[in-house]
Amino acid sequence: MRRAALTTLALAIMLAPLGASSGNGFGTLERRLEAALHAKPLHPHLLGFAALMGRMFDRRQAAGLHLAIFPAPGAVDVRQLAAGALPADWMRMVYSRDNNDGEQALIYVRQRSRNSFQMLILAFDPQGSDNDSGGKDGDGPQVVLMSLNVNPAQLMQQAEQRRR
Amino acid sequence: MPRRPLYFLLLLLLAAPLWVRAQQQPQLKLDLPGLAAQADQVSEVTLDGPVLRLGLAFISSDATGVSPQERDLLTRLKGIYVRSYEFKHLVVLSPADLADLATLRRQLRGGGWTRIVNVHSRREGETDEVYLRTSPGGNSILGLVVISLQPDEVDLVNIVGDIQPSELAALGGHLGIPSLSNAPAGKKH
Repeated sequence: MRRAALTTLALAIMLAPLGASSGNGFGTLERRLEAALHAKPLHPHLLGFAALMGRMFDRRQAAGLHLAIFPAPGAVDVRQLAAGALPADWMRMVYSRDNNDGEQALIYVRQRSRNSFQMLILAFDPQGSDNDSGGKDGDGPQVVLMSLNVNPAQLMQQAEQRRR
Repeated sequence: MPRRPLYFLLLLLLAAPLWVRAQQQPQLKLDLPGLAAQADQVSEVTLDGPVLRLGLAFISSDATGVSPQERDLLTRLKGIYVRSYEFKHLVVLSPADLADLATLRRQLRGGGWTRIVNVHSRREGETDEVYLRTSPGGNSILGLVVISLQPDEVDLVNIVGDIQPSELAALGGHLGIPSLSNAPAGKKH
């Protein structure tokens, strides 16, 4: 009995990493950014609630929306920040960089199910956020991490409905 | 049975999948790091596997204006790789950049690759090259590479998939690929 319990426990410990969701790339990358940038992220208030309300009215609204904004100490390379942080099922789809001001964007995608994908966007904004007058609030450079689930068929349905 | 031929046979059997894969893989190393460091805007798009299916899922809707034939072609693609380097000024290729381009072109010599378009315009300062990799029987195209050098932009496109020769024209004008309908092969200006 004791041997069976120990065996089960050992098996559970060995298999636990396999059960851990590789889908939570947002959390993984968020922790990596916290460590690399030595800063806590800002999570916009009520974003989750707003997304939930949106989905109550229209289930085709993007789900799994998470946003974290980090102050950056200066210029950063988002590829280096993300390098090796995500499991192999995440694939880099787009990388874009403006060498004039250092603005960068990385987009990773992972398939969740046959019709659903998870998208991670990691961006570096060297000038911080815009204020309502079109100027800059002087927030300084920021690294923005966003995650959302995408169902292309539903999105296109929505776009088609709006077009009509 | 003697041991030595058996060992060779075993080695061959183990290595064969790697050799076959190498021969069949028309995806190339496209990056030009020197140009990436100099360019004002760098864009890298990699669509393959599930990521390609995501992109194709968006165009499967009738709203996108993609014809059924074009959609069928796109669903047979296995990978789309684009590297684009934009400059605010005239591009000046350094010896290192030229070496990187030479390395890329070396990948396109032999191994089933053929250059079908080589157009250079002195007046516009533009060079366009298109390479195709065909299946052993020549019935379909397994890969396509476009190298486009413009005065203020360098674009590289690699498409991997099963493309019928008659469908080549449909790809022209998309994804940075120049029009292929009337381009003669190997013509220089």
